[in-house]
Amino acid sequence: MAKKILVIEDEDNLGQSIKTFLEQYDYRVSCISDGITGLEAVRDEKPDLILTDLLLPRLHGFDICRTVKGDDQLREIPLIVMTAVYKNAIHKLEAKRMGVEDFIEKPLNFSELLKKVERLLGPATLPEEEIITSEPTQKKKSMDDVIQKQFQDLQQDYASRLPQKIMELEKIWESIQKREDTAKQLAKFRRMVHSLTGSGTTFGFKELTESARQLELLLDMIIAEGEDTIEERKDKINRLLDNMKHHPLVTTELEIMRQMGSNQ
Amino acid sequence: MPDNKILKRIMYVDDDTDLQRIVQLGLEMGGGFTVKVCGSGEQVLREIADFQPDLLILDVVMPDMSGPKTLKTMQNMPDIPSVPVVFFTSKTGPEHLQHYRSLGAIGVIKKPLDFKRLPHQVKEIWEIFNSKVHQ
Repeated sequence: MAKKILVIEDEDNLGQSIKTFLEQYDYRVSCISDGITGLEAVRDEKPDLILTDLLLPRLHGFDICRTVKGDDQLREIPLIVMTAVYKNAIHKLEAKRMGVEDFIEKPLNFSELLKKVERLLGPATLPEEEIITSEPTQKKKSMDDVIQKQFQDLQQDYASRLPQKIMELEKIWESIQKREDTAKQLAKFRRMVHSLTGSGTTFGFKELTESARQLELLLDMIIAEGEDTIEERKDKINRLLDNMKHHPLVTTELEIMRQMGSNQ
Repeated sequence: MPDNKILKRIMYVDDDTDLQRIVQLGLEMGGGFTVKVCGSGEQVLREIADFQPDLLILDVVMPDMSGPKTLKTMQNMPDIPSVPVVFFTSKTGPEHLQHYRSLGAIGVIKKPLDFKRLPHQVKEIWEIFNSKVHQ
């Protein structure tokens, strides 16, 4: 059974990042965002380790430490305090006196966090045969791997939404050609293309965004030189939109969307 | 102005939800910072006092209220805390950089973004800023 860590942190994003990170190492992690509920969860769940912030709503982190370390049923649970404010020696000493096992400073260094967790808990439990046949260190992923995996998930999600974005661009382009609220639509079109240029490159779809970049330049020229120049640039814009639409990544996603639609 | 302050809390402002997610990933998982994401300049004005960031990263091109306009508005609102600002932009020519600095920005991060390098870039800007403050 994997070891369980309770994270008490009122910054939900940070709590979620810690959870995502430690779960990659096969710990079970739950997050609570206030002190009172955190203490209740300690009693209910009896985690193998508590990782708590200090400045928490409803109950201060030191009160959690004091209660846990003063309770015969709970005091064996190791506690790590995350501290951004209370990091001077007096507070550390006070926490040590309460029985707190360790500290970690914010901003968190995730590798340091892992070291501290492993020092207190050992690596998350592995199936017996794995313990015999493999080195636990081989199983560990580096922080870069964890981030890379998260990036790939975001990248995949981004790719799946690209066809929708391009269809929306085509729709706006149609209304621009019909001169429907042209100035407003042009601004919207340009904003969407600009966003595609930036985010597409960041997500690693450079060819696709090269078309977006050229399109952005054309739109800048139209905005600078006037709506009358739309006509003379129409063919180029159509060609660039077509390039984007027929990029292999987009056509694959479009095919998936079509298949999902026909299966419904 | 910070007193050799450690950078912990970053408010990041961008209307592009795709970039929001990737910047957040880079800063939180890669840098260990506490990050608050805002989708507009208006949201910054509403939430900055509560979040109390050490640093504000502002996208330059945003609808309604651009990054520079957000910064100017903040500078004219005495009840809003003074927070160092970094602009996030694809326009990084010398004239642009000079313009951003004249507005009061302490640095610029260039688009397109390399999210793995982002935490280092931010720390570097922060360290240079701190060293200047304490000269």
